[in-house]
Amino acid sequence: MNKKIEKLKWLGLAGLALAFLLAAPGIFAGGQKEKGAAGKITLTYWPIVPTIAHWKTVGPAWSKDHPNIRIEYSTAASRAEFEKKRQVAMAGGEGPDLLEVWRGSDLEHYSKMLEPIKPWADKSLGAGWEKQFASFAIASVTAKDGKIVALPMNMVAEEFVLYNKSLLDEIGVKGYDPAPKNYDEWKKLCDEITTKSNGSVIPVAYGGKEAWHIVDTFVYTANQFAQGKIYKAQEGKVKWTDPVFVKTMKVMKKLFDNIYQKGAVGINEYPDTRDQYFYSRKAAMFVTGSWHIGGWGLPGGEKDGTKIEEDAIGAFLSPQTGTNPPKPTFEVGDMVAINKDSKHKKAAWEFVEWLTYGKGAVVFANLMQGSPVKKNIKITTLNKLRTKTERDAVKWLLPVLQTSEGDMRLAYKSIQDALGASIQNVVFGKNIKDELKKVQEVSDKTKR
Amino acid sequence: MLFRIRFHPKILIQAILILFALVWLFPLVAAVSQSLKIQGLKNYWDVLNYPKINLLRVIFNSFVIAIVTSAAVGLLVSLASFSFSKMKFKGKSVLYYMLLACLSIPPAAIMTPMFILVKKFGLMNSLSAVILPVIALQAPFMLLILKNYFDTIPSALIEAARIDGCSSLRVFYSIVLPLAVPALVTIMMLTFINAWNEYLIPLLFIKSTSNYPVTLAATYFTGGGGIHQTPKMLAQQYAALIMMTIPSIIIYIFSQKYLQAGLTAGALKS
Amino acid sequence: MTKAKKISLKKLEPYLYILPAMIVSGLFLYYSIGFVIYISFHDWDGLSFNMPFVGLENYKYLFTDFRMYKALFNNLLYMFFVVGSQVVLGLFIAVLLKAKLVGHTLFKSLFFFPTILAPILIGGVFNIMMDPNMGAINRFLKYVGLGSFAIPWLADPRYALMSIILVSIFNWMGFAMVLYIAGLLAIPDDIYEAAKIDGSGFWNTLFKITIPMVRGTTATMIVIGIVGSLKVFDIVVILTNGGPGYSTEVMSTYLFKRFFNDFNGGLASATGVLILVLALVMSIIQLKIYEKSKLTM
Repeated sequence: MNKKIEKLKWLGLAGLALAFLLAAPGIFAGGQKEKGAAGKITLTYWPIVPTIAHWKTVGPAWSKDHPNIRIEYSTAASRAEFEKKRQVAMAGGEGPDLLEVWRGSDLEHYSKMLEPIKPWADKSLGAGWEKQFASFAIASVTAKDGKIVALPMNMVAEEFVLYNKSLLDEIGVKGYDPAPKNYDEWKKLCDEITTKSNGSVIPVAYGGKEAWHIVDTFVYTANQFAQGKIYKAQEGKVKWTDPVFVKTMKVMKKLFDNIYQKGAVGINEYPDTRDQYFYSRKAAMFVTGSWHIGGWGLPGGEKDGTKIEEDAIGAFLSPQTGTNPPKPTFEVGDMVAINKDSKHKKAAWEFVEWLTYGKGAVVFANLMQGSPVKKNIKITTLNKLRTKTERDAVKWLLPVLQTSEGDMRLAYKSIQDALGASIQNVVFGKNIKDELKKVQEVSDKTKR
Repeated sequence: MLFRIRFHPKILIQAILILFALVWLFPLVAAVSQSLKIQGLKNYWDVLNYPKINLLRVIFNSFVIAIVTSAAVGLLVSLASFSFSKMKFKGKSVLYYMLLACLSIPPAAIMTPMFILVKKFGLMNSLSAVILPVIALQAPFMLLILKNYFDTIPSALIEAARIDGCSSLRVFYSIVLPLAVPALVTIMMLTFINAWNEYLIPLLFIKSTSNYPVTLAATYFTGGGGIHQTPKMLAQQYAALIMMTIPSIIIYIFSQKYLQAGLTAGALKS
Repeated sequence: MTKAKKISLKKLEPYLYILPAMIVSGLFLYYSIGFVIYISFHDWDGLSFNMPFVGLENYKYLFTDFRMYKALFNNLLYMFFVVGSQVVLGLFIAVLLKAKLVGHTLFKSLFFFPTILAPILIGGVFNIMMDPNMGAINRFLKYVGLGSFAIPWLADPRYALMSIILVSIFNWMGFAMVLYIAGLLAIPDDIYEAAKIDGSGFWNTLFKITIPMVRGTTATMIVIGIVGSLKVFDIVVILTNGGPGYSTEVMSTYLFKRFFNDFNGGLASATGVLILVLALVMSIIQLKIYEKSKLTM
């Protein structure tokens, strides 16, 4: 018995000794200094996009041309975790050299900690470089004080519906051609799917658990009643109890009751709705954004190994549910910024220029994570898509994106959270006016 | 009588246990089947051979973190529990509640101050940046458990030894500790597992991939940010998360042996 | 050494035993708690340290926010059911396992296993299993003819919190079981033998001997449960993220959203202080009740 105690004691003492040893900084590769040849710089880069999968292409392309600037890429398991890691590190003065921020309150809060881009760009690209980007994209990376604090990488838009053409052909549904234009046509298509498949195929899969998706749908719908009104509401200039939003709420309820699958408010868009419904061939349609048209079908991409690997997937614009025809809502999906505290701003700028303006922009555009915002970039990977339907979808998408109007996402996450919760409550039959009042209450408390 | 337990107690007990076991097995089978999607067992093989992960390094890091933490917590907590449970002194309950307060603070609220401290101590990015905060967070929790167990050791036993002239350290070492082996091993096992599974603290305090523990390495299979996590990667993530539990299982099985030993120690009693 | 010195050392002794734990935990946690309390009186965006003093503004916001009350209510409900079932189930299973029937180590390991698993794994699997349309649970229920129990587990405000509670029980029952097993080991065997000779049945032994004898473990379990429930975060975020609506919002998810979504570090800190105070008060009350029950025994 005592021998066992003896063992435990020594284990304890050894552990404590080791703890104090480790507590000395620098041991076990602590500290931030990187070894390596003189003149070699290491930059840390924390983005969500490029993803790990993208980085397999983007990373080597960078290193090939810039052997002296190594990029240490790292991301996190989810957007929420990423935001946590980034915020705590930035507040503690240990942020990365390069980081991703997003349009709206996120960029605004970080703007004072980010390096103004314009002086660097003016010096290296010459005056007037902004004209090389879509003008909305430059507006998106500009803080309220007028400083440009990041550069845009791509544009994404909502709301689109992917449909599994092969599956629909199999069960003999033809209603996807021409694509449904309004709610009634969409409902008819859904009913046809249910009837012809004897209920074995779910017509539409929609991930309604996360606030971002339902609120994006809400914005897309509200713009069909009164273009742009919702942006005034989020700035506090229009009440959330406005009739436009009451009407939009009614549409949301109708969509969840009659179009989307049962229980959609409890299912994540990613990965559950995508994998368990659309990729597993249980659902014929999947409501998503432009980022999901194209790139995911590339070899080595998401489709590989799933039940729909060989299927032809088409896309159409989410049908009209308001009084006016729908237009896609859009925004800069991803951007890259330089930390003001970075010790290697010159090298960091070199990377930003490469990724958004130079060769890297072409490499990134070919991954089809959204569409380019830098002018004169041609996507050359289209022919790698497996089916003609998918190639056609991308070709169809590009001009449709030109008709986009209005921001895809609300700029204030506090309002997004509140509106998302209220939409879900309305879906379950709560009073629309009461729910909108709650949104107003949160909106009133939001700092702008 | 509610059940006819007197007549077939063993069969009834076995039946209840099997019923519970089936309920508990269900999600675990589901997890394993998720990890076999798309490529079957190759998912596990792919995780082990993932080029971005230096597997040995990552496992080593996690082991250092978990072993040091559990040893330190075992030592600190058994000393403190002894004092709280078997000694009389001024301000005892206040000090005890102060440690309880440490237990009650939600981690999300204290990440920034923790970060500032770790940086001030110059620990950032080293394994001790994980070890020390994890010890700090685990110790109050384990103290609560161990102190309760110490309370069950009869005080008469200790008073007798003290009258015999034993120093308090000697009482602690040769009377209390041997009797507390089952509880001590339990808390050290729990600390090991918690430290092994710790995710938030390394996420915030470790930047360089060479110091990643297994929990961070497993995030490679999320594709980053959850978007573009292909179904194949999702299956691999499940495979990685399942494989990650192996050391914890070994520690658990190992600790069960000591629980048996504790039984005999308990039989010593007064 | 003089006698006086010896006495003062004797007096210091208890403190010296506590000191190491106090240093390590105190260093990190008291600083952090102090920081959080300080911040709760300031307007902090969670990023820059240029923050004005705002007095009780954050607390005013907190106590007038309908979301906080919803979160608090849900959290107390969650606490009540999770703590209750942990104590009852954990003890029950531990007692059953004490019979040492065939395969008891296997059962024990199986029940303990979920506590080893990462929350992301448990959450991910239950997300898939609790899917209203093709989740394994509903398919199973329909298969065995219990189709009316096939509810939208996570997708309906009426059931979502209950579903999270069920998952939490699955996750943590093994923990309670392990503590109770260690606690049961401290009960001398001869007490049971004496009871057997007296002809005491299973339930009688359970209520008259076992439950009073593991009172200390139960008290510990309840404190851990209270504190753990008020801090519950990961599993809620992964399963529902507080929804649908606010039906599963708890204190920690509320705090997290205010901190990282709203950039309102002051409000989040005030929420942290509220959680701390609630947990501490409830724990102390629980421990006091336990101390009292010890005296009356």
